[in-house]
Amino acid sequence: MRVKALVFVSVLACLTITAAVAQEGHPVIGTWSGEWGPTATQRNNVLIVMNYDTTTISGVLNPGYPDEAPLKVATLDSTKWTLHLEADSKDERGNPAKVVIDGKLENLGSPNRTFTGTWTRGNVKGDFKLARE
Amino acid sequence: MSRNAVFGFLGIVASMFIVIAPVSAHHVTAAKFDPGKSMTLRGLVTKIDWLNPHVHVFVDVGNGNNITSWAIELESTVDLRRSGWTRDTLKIGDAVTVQGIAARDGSNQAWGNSIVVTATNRRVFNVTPVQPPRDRAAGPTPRWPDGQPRLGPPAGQVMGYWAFPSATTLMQMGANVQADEHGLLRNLGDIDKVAPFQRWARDLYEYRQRNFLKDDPMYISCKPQAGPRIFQRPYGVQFLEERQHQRTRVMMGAGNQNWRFIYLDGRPQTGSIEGNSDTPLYWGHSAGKWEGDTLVVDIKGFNDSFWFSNGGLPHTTQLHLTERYTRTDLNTLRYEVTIDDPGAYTRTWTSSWTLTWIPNEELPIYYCQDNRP
Repeated sequence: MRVKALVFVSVLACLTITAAVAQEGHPVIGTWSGEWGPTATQRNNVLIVMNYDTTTISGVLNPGYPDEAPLKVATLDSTKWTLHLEADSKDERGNPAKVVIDGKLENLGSPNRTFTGTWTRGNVKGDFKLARE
Repeated sequence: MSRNAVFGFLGIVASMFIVIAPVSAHHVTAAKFDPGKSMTLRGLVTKIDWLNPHVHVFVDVGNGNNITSWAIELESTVDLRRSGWTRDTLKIGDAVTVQGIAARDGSNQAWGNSIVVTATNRRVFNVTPVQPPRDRAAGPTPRWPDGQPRLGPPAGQVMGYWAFPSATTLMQMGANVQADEHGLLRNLGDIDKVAPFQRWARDLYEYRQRNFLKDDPMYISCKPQAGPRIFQRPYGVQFLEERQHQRTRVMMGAGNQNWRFIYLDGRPQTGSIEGNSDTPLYWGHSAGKWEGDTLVVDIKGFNDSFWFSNGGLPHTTQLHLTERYTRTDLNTLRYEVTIDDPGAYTRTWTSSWTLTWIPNEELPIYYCQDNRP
């Protein structure tokens, strides 16, 4: 039964990923996953889901998790393909912590384009690398 | 399940998908080969892949123990066949001289501009550009008994399709911009003339142009060439007017010979981007009605998983098209499209071109196949 469930979930996930991979519209739209951390060994998994309407990028940081937070600021400079994000999130202890993300979109033509740069949560600064799923 | 376990699982699934994702199938020549890197190869033919989207001839170059195998890429089987060539034109073991341009990635691949058989000094597999038929009879717009223009063959004929678009790059009316048949601009300084872009769309279009359209999903993974692009591709379109069903089927001559329906029965436009029984993925939902001699088609419900133009103009799921088809005489179809996509453009804009009637022929047989990357 568990095997069947796992197969079902895997197929569902593949279908979901297939739909996401094929996106050719605004480059930030989609689900981005990866990790950030202050050192090479201190890493945290992260997820950002972003969308775009006619003028504005919106999104959620770590949806479904205790530190979930909507993006308060999301600014794309498409002349350099840099993206600035801000969110009022929480740290590991649940204390309020502002998250500021500055990075660059690369390999734009690929469905698995990347977003890398600096990630600051409260007083902790580190680097991050996300890939679009 | 912990967060890390979930991320781990997602990672595994994503890896699985990457492994099973389709490999590159087709491309704009300049995306893969560098026109500035001319080369000449002399060797023996070892294999011929007679496949679309590109035929490949494999040649062993060198002598003794120092032999290098090269893949020489050519046009499609359709283009080669139209120029009089077949898979038997070359034989395994033939000595040939190839002139071409080298692959950008440094691999042993070249685009073949010329192949000459050493024994006969005969040049083979050169492609003669196809011209519209010259001996077509002129005539008025063919009509159904009720007077409505026919988009397909005149009464009494069963075959025919539309090809030779007068423009192969989608751009707003009045734009004086030069581009090649793939939509590559001659001058990137003309970008802002092409369409009323939002900034991100303009910069993405430039990115695609600067990369020679190498990421076109039609070339990468045989994705459909939906939207107005189907009327600017080289192998034409065919209209099957199924009047008893109050719909017109638009058959596409390239890609995977997909088709879309134009519904003429007044059904509601569901416009679901996920697709459903009458809104297939990629094609949107087309609702048509005749206004005088012009078929006006409203299309909504596109996904954003394809390029809707040669040259890589971006669009979003808000894309809304209004198409106007007017058969001005027997041999001419005027196609006009108005693009309304507030997600990518600052205003609606319109483009127009004509297609030429090819009588007594079916669409060429062409499928985008999984060929060599």
